[in-house]
Amino acid sequence: MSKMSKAIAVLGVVAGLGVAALPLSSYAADPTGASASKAAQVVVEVGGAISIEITDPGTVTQVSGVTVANDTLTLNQAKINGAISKGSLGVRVLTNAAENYSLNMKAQGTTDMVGSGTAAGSSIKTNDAIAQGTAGWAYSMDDGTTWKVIPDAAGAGDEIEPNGATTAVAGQSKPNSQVTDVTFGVAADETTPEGTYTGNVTFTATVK
Amino acid sequence: MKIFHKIKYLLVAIFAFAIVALFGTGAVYADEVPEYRIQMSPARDDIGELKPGESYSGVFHVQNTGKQAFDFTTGVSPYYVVDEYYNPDYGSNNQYTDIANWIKLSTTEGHVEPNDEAEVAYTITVPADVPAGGQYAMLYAEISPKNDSATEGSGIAVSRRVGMLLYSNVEGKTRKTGSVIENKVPSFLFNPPVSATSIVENTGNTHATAKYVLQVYPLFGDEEIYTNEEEPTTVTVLPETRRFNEITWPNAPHLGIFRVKQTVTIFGETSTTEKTVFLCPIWFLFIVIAIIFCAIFWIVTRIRARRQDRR
Repeated sequence: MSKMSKAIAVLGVVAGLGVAALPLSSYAADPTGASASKAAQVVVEVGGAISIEITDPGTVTQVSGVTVANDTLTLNQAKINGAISKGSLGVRVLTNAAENYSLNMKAQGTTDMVGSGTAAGSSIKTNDAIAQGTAGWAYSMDDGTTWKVIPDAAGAGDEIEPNGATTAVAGQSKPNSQVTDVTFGVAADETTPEGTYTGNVTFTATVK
Repeated sequence: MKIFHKIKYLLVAIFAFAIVALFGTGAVYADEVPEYRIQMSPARDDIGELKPGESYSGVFHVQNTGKQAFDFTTGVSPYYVVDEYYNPDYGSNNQYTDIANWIKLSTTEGHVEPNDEAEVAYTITVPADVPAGGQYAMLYAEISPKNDSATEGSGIAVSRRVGMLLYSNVEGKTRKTGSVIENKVPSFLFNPPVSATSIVENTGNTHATAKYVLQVYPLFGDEEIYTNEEEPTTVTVLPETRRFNEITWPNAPHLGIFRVKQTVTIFGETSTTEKTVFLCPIWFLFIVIAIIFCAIFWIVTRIRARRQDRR
């Protein structure tokens, strides 16, 4: 029996005894041999609630230079007849409701991106056919593979489904704490005046 | 000697386990608190019956569970649904959303510091001449982007809104009718979880509660492996809508044969479906098929070999 084997054998026995002894240490004896106790209850009420927050995207890789801050997704400059300028943000909904939750998105006010500064009075229309050389703005739930028009503010809006497969939790198809990524894209062509454009959308979270 | 080697390895395993048990506790990460998070409580409120010509008052709370203080605005919108998956419609008006016009909020704007909340009261003034039946609205609080947020280049300004769904019923002659349209349990699954689906229909003029109970038994025997009978799933079904629901056995194993029963109840009508569910990963299925083919091939080969030997 080698020395190493002996050492391992001893350590194994000691460790095993130590783990076995852990439960025994919880039974601390009362030194005086006498004790008194009284039961007490702690009661708290937890209300039902739902919350929403905007974050960096959870799964989609953010385009370099794009930022999410102060409730605004700032994209890189859209070049005339250049590639789509896109960026993503994450939306996280938390609720202790047993039912599923709804995450809805639609335009706030107009569905156009409104120009300001030198582009005041101009706009970029929402367009699900945006491409290099085809102006417009749109959103995507698959990082720009397919684009959708921004839903009108007066309508029902679009239900925003989370990306990919989700783990069902007590009937919820949108588990709590999952960040749902939404990608926005803007394309400009030679008809798009120079300047800054801003699109406004509203995300609404409710239980179902 | 061989026995000693086996004991040696066993002791190493015990030692390693002890180390992991004492020191290898899984790391626990708390969700990072965001800069801005607006929360609404309660998330839903069924205020019961409203009497024509009378008023009702209630409150909701706008809570700040983020790091920064925020200003918020409030509002009311209709609430109905567009499909059986209960995707909401906050824009359309119909006979069940008139209540959105009856509600007045105590304030349309406010400010909340971190870990604080603001109480917003609402008053519903019910007209005297409204028909009986359900009425539904969403009362919401919203954070809008700051006006001074400078953007270089194109940008999307995002408003965040959380809503409390308000359910009510104007007193009077109501129609409570409906049925279970569909009640399904799959027979074969490649992966967990085990889910049962259903569609219920509310053909009345007021909302109703549908109840779902899922029970799972072994193939032989009546001892329940899983049930939510003590806390059944319940959902609200709006009038003149259908609602799809999926109920799940969340900790199902990857392999097994079970009897799964779903019971759906709405307006006193109960629908029960029970099926034998085969839960088998696809790779296991391939292995079983491969083994069967190999066995058949081996048997056929042996039979042919014996026939040749006899000749």
